[in-house]
Amino acid sequence: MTRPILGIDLGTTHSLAAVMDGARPRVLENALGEILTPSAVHLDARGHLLVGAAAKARATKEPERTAVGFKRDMGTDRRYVLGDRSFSPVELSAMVLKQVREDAEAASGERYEEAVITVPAYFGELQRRATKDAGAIAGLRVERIINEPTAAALAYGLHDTSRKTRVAVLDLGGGTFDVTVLEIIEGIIEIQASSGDARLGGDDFVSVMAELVDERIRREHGRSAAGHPVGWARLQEACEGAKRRLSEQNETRLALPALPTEAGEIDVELTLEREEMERAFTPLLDRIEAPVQRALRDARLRPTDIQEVLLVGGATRMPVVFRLAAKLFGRMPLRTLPPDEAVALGAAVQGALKAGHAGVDDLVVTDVAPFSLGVACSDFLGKRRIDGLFCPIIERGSVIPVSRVRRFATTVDQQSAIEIEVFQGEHSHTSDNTKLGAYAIDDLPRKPANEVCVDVRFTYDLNGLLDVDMTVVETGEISSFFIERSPGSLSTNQIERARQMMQSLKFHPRDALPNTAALARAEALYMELSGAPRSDLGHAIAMLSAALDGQDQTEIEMCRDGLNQMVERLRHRSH
Amino acid sequence: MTLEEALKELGLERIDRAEEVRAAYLRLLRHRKPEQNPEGFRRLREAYEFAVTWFDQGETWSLLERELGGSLGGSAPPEPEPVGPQRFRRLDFSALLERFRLRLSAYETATLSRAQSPVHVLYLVHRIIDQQKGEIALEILNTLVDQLPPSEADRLPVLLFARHLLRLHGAGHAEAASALTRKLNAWLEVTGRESDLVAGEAAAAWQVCKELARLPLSLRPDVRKALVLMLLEDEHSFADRVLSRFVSQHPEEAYDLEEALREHAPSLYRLVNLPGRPEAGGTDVRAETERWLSYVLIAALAFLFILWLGRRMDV
Repeated sequence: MTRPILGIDLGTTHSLAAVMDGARPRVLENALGEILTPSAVHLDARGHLLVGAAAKARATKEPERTAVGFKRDMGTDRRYVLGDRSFSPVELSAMVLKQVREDAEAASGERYEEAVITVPAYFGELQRRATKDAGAIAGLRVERIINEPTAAALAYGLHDTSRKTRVAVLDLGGGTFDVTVLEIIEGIIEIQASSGDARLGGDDFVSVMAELVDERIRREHGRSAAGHPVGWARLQEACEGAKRRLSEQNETRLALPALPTEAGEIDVELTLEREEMERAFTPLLDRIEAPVQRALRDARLRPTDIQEVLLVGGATRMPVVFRLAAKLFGRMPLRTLPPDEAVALGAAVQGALKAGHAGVDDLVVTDVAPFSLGVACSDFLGKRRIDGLFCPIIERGSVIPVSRVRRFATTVDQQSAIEIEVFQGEHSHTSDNTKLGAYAIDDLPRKPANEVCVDVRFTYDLNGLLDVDMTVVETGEISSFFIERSPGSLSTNQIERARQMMQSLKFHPRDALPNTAALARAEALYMELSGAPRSDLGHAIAMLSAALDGQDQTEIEMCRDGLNQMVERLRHRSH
Repeated sequence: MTLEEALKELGLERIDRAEEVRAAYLRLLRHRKPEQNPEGFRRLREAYEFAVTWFDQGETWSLLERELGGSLGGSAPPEPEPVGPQRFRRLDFSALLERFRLRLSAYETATLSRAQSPVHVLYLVHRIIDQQKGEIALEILNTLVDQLPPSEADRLPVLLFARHLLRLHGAGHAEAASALTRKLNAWLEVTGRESDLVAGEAAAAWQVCKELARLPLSLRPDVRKALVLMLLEDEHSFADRVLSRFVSQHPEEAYDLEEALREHAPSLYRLVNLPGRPEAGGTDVRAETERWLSYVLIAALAFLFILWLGRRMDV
């Protein structure tokens, strides 16, 4: 059998990997023994790169040297400045993928050359390419990109192959929201419609909360944390914790001693109530409702036609999201799979399907094109000619793989050439859509306008590769090209250079990671405490640092475990 | 793809129920997985979608015919056609298809190429007008009138045709629509259908069409459109607004229109409620009176309220 294919959920806030183990997928632990690796990169003062939990923990102390949430900028030109270097979102994602891959190899004892990576269903072509490029830089061959809700559906469908149900999957992750409507019939998973909001996730709920808290701080202290990068980072971090606690409790305390603001430090202590937060979240909840209606409409179903609602993604743990889902569909949503793991498990299943793994023999999956693909064309309104219209050849929601053809004609007499410009998008004018490529045919037979026709055939496959065949009807001559490089994506040379650059970067040694992470977490917590607990923590930190200098492994492990336990205890106690 | 090819791909001989198509697709899907056999899957899926659309259309058309059977102004609706290999086509739109092939979608082309009854064609025309391809719709309707043999005159659903003419009037094709109306009128006389259309919804609609065609072509497009809206959808508030504006801004033209309606288009005149001619001051008497009345009413209510308050306080 070929090498196993790794399934990776590259999330906005967390990433994780899973692989098929016999008949079931299984998530793989990272170097810290945890399943979730924060999608964070930090460049320390010595020029070493940290990826994961250790980097995330540094985000509060040194936000200007740490990058988080870069998934949202995939496919754009944004650069993240860390210290004296800058990186693109693709490079940062590649670092996370590299870490995830190494951890997976260590956990499973296998070597991985190929991976299936998930993306939000709403990701456009540019963003999918960027994700593939990131994989390539990390040394992984990424032929298949699948949609996150499809992955969740796969994990769920495999879970119980005897069912016959209509399912709606709501995936609210850290940064993106996707909703997918599908039908499962005894191991056949038919995706019927997809919609979503590419900029809505758990992080947005945290931002709303942070704004609210900052407003209260301003009223009470006359100053704001928003003006100070460290202050703001700490505030966000604290709000994230508060958001989680409010999923279990009705109110929670938020304490930020010595919080830096634009004008000096202040001690902040306040209580947040779940009810007031839920009121503040209302505009975000409205943004959840709209894509749900759209997907149902595309699938030509009513909410009552859905028999099971599946919630995926950490942010669905919020009671307010759970209640909204229940209200929209009139039934209790399910969480049969751990919300953080479902997508990665599904990616592993897809990997197995692609590799022809025996364990998934009974499973058949059909997915749909996430966006429309077409060409720029002209049309006549009376005598006026209008250019730049978008003429879809493959409609969004078509089951893939798919092949469709449309015929076009010349618009002027004696026209000798036609340019086929390929676009992706849903708008009626190409200026609002994304251009993927262009190809010209010249040497057309010279005839009056409208008499020379060209058939344009689009073939879109499971790997997202678009083949374009153009046939001049009269002569039967065919020209073909395929869209593999979209503007902004990297050429093979560029990828190779990026890979070498990555290899030349100094990454923090892996075996030191558990210690670094423990210290970073403890230091982050230290800033939030005061009094006796704080000095206790200080002692424990000092002990581990001393043990690291001594290099006695047993002693190091003991101190590290002790420190981790104390951090856990102190985190819970103060709330 | 044709229906025969689709049926072959699905391994079916005929389709009696929609469920059969789905069951066949799902059964075959297990052996033609997209992952392992992308070509085979693509063909299967194409056949499935084609068959489902074909079946849905057949259902919709039968339903439409049954619903309109009574007011089609003709004989009983034709029997629902069994779905199977294509029958001999009597309506030939090939020249039209050739001319407009770039502007018609694959679905529209397929439908028109196997159109077997005028009702099917008119249903498609409805959709084509919806997409603002009025020119093509007119061509199709013209061809239909040209092609339909007089012996089958009673298969032409006049009500549907009349409604399409109205929409074309409103969509800026007044001249062509009027010409078509005259053509159809001649055809109805020749085939003896005119005598059928004495009463009923079809008759009323046809009457209105004829009258619209008699109105001068110089009539403003927005006024024409407002009239059409009123007739088609009983939509008065929008039409009233347009007409009031017309009357207040171009009183002379409005007067001419009123005269034209009274003379050439009696039923239109009855249906349309042209707002009264404005006073010299440029205000609408009725609206003014209404406004004053509402002031009086409010004042009266306020007065009563104060009285009531006073009573309460005394207690």
